[in-house]
Amino acid sequence: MMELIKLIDLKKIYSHKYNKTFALDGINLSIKQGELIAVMGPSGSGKSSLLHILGLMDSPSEGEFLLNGKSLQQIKKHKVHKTRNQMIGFVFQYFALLKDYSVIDNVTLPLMYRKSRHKERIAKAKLYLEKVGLKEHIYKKADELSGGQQQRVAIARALVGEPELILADEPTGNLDRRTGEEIIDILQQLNSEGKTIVIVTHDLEVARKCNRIIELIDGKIHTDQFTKSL
Amino acid sequence: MFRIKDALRALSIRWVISILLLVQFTYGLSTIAGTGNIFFNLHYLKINSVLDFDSTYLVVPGRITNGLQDERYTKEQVEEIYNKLKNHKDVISFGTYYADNIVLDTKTHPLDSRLIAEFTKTHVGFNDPFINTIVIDENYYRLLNLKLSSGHGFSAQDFRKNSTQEANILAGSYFKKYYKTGDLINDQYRIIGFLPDKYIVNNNTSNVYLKLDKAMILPMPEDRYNDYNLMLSRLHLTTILKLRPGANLEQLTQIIQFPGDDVKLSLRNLGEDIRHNIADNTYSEIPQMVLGLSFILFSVIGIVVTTMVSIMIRKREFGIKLALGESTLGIFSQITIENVIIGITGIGLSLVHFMWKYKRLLQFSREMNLASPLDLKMNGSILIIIFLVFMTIISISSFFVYLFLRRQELKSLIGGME
Amino acid sequence: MRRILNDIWISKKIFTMLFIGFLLTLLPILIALSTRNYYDEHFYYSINGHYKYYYSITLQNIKKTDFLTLQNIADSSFSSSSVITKDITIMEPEIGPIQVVGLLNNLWKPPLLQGTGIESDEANEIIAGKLISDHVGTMKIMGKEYHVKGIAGKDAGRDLINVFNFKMYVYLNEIPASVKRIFDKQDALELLVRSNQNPKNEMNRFISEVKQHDPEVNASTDNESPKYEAEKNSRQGVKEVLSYPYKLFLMALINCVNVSYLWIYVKRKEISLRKALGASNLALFVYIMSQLSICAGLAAIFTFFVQWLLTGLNLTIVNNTSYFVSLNLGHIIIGFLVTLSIAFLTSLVPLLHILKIEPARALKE
Repeated sequence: MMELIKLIDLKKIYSHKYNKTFALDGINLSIKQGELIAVMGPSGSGKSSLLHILGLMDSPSEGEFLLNGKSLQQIKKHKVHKTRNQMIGFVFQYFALLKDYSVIDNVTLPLMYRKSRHKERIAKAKLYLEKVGLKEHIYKKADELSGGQQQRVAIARALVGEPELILADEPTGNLDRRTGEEIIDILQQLNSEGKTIVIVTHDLEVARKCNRIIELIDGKIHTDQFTKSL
Repeated sequence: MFRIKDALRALSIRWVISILLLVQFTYGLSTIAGTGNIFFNLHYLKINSVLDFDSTYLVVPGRITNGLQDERYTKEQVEEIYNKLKNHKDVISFGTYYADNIVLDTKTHPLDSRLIAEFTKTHVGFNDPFINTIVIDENYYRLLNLKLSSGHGFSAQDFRKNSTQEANILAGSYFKKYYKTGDLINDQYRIIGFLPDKYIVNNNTSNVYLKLDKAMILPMPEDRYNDYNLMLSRLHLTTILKLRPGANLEQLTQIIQFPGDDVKLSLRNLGEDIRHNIADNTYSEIPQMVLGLSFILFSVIGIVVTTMVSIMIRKREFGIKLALGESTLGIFSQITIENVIIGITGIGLSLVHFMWKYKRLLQFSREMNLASPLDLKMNGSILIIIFLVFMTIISISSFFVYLFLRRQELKSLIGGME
Repeated sequence: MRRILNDIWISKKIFTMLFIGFLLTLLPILIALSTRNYYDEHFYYSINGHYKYYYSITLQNIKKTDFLTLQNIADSSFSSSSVITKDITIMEPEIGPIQVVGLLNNLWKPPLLQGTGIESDEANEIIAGKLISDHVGTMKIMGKEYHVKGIAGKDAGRDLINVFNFKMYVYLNEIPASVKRIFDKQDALELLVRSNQNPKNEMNRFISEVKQHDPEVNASTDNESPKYEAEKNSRQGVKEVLSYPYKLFLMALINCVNVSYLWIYVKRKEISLRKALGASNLALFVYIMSQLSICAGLAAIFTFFVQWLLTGLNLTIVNNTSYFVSLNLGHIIIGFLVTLSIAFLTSLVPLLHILKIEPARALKE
C-alpha cells in the first residue's frame, strides 16, 4: 500500500517565557492509504495537536511531515489551503455545520473554494448526500436536522471534495450510542471503499472497529498496534 | 456571487452596527462632497482665469451709488483719462467691458429643448432662456490675448459696427454641441470661434466670476462704445488694466479719479483678490475639514472595530470555511466585500443627502454658471473625490483588519467551532 | 476605585479610542452651544436687546399728539419696560442706508464702543453705529445737525459689530424730519415694548393715557415674541454652521458605541465568569458604567481645558471659521450632563450584551 503520510521525529513545542511544553515529542508515524486509524489518549496527550498538524491547520516546530511523499516545507504557505481543500476532509464532534446554510449549501462549500461549476457542485453534493442517506433533506437548514443527521451531512461534506484523507475528531462524541454506531458504520463502509480515515476518539468501542490503534501519552506514541490487517 | 450573498447575510445579522456605520458614511461623505466642491472650486479659481493674475488690475469704486453724476463731467474729460492711461509708462494695456444677457429667440427659430432648458434660469423669475454675455471693447480684446487661430477671433472691423448690425461672436465650448463656426444665433450673432474653458471678470466689485463655457463674448458696438453715459459708467465700474510689475498705483489712481468726484476709485489686483478669496474660504472650510478628517478617522475605527468583533463572533464560521479549504485571503476578501457594501450604500445615501440638502444651491449654481467657491455641483470630479476618500477608508481599515486576521491562528479559529 | 482604574488601564487601547470618541463628542457640542449663544446674542442685538416679552403697539391717527408728549406718556407709563420704535430705514446719500431707532424712555441703551449715552432732555443727541460715524462729535444726517454722543457696537467679532454699523439711536422727539414724514405718510407709529416682566398692564396704562390725551387715536397691540422666535430659528446660515458640530457629535457617538461593542465582546469571558460567581446584571452594568463614566469624565475635563485654551482665540476663530468658542459655568454644567448621557448611551450596547450573556456559555468558547 502507498504511504500517504509520514511523520519523522515530529515535535510541537509551545514556549512560555522560561517554560517549554512539548505537545508532541518526537512522533514517528507512517499512515498508508486505506488505513482506518484510531488515535486515543488522555486529555493533554497531544491528540489535538497531532490532528491539527495532520489537517494542515498548524505546523510542527521540528521534524519532518511528508504528505504523499512531499515535504510540508515544499508546499508554499499561501497554497496550504488548496492542499487542505483537495486532500483532506474533516468530521468534527460538534459537526461544524453553518447553521444559516441549507444542507446542500453546507455540503457544496469545499467545492466552492475549488471554484467548481455550480451544476457539478450540486450533482456531487446530491450524490454524497444520497450515500449518507439524506437525499430527502437537502434544502433544510442544517440546524433543523437531528444530531445524527447533522453528522451525516458533515461526512457528506468531508467526502464531496473526494479527499485522500478523512480526519474525524470525536465523530460520535456528541451522539447517542445507536446513532454513533451508524456513523462509525458509514466510516467503516467508506474505509472499505479505500478511504484513509484517522479518528480521534476516547471511545474504546469506536477504536476497536478500526484496523490500527495509536495511543498517545505526553506527546509521545505509547502504543501503535494493528488490530486487523488491511 | 456567493461571497456577496454571504456578505449581505453577515450584514443583516449585525444590522444595528451596519446602520450606525451607514449613518456615519452618509453624513461623512456628504460633508466630503461639500468640502470637495469648495476645494475643487478654489483650485478652479486658482488656475483657470482668462486674465493674468499678477498684471491685471480692476478699477473698483469705493461704493455703488444710485447714479453717476454725469452732468458734472464731459466726454472729453473721460477721453483724456483714457489717453493718459494709454501713454502711462506702467500701463501695458487697458480695456472696458459690460455684462449683457442675450435672450434666445425661440419663436422664429426652433431650438433644441436641452439648450433651452440649460439657459432658462428659473430662479431669476425670467422664463425666456438667455445667455450671459460679456461685451468688450477693442483694447480689452487685445488685452485678453485669447490666442485663437486666424479667422476665429475678432478683427478691427468687428468693433466698427453698431448695435443693430449682425455681429461676430465667440461662444463657450458648450455651444459646440449645438452650433458650428459660421452659424447664426438669433439671426444676429455669428459664431466665429469658441472660447477656452476658463472664467472672466464680469463685475469688478464682486468676487465671483463668469465661467466662459456657457457664455459668449461680443465685440462692443461703436454706438455703445462712444455713448458718453456708458463710457462714464464703464470707467467707474468695468475698466481693466494690465500693468507692469511695480507700477505706481497711486499715480494711476489719481489719473482715473475725476476731480471732485465723491466716488473714490481704486485699483485692485485680480490675483491678490482671488488669492485672498481662496485664503478666506480655506479658513472657513476648517470646521468642515475637521469634520471630514474626523469622519475618516471614525469610519476607519468603526470599520476596524466592527470587523474585529464580527471576526470574533464568526470564529466558528471562518474556522469551518478555512478547514474546508478557504484561504485567509478569501476570508479577508469576504470581510472587505461586507465593508465595501456598507461604503457603496453610504456613497449612494450621501449623494442623495447632499443633493437634497443643497437642492436649491445646486440649481442656482447650474443656472448661474459662476466661478465661485460656492459653485456647488455633483459632477465626475466630485464623485472621484468621494470615491478616493471611500477608497482611503477601505484601504486603511482593510490594512488593520488584515493585520488582525493574520494574527488569528487557524487552529484557534477551529477551536471556535466547538 | 483602584480596581476600576486598573481595569481601565488593562484595556487602555480601547479606552484610548473611547477617550478620543468622548472628546470629539463633547467638544463639538460645547462649540455648538457657545456658537449658538453667540449667534443668539447677535440676533438679540439686531433687534435691539434681549427680553422675555416683546409686544408691539401700533398707534394710528396720532396727528394731534406730538412726539414729545408721547415720549412723556411712555416715560410715566412704563416703569419696567423699554419702549422704542421699530427700525425705520432711510437713505442718506453720503452714507447709505441708515436704520433709525427712536427711543421713548431710557430703560435701554445700545452697547457702546466709545462715548456716553443720550439724555431725553438734551437736544439733537444721537448714538450712531461705527459706519455712520467712527468718532463722537457733530454730523449732519438728513439735513439736521446731530451731536454724536456715543458709538454703538459690541467688540465681539466681525458679525456682532456689523449689527450696529448702520444704526442710529435718537429720542423720538429728535427724530429726523424725513422719518417723521414716513410716520405721517403711513399714518401709523409702530412701537416695541420689551420687558422681562409681563408688560400688559403698563401697555394698557400707556394706551389709555394716549387716548385720554387724544380720544381719536386708534391703538392695537400684538405679541411679537413668536415672530422673533420663528425668525431666530429660521436663520439658515446659523443652521448650516451648527449642523457640522452636530454631525461630528453624532459620528463620534456612533464611534463610541462601536468601540464599546468591541470592548464588551473582548470582555465577555470575564463578564461570564463574574456572572457565574454571582454578579447581578445591575452590578455588572454599574461596573461597566463606572468605567465608561470615568473615561467620559476625563474626556470632559480635557474638553473644558481645550475649550478654555481656545477661548483666548475666540475672535480669530469666529472671523475665520464662523464658530465662537467660549466657556462659562452653564457650558460646564451642560457639558457634564452630556458626558453622563453619552456614558449612559455608550453603556447601552454592553448592557444588552450583559443581559444576553449566559454564565457558562462564553467560558466554553
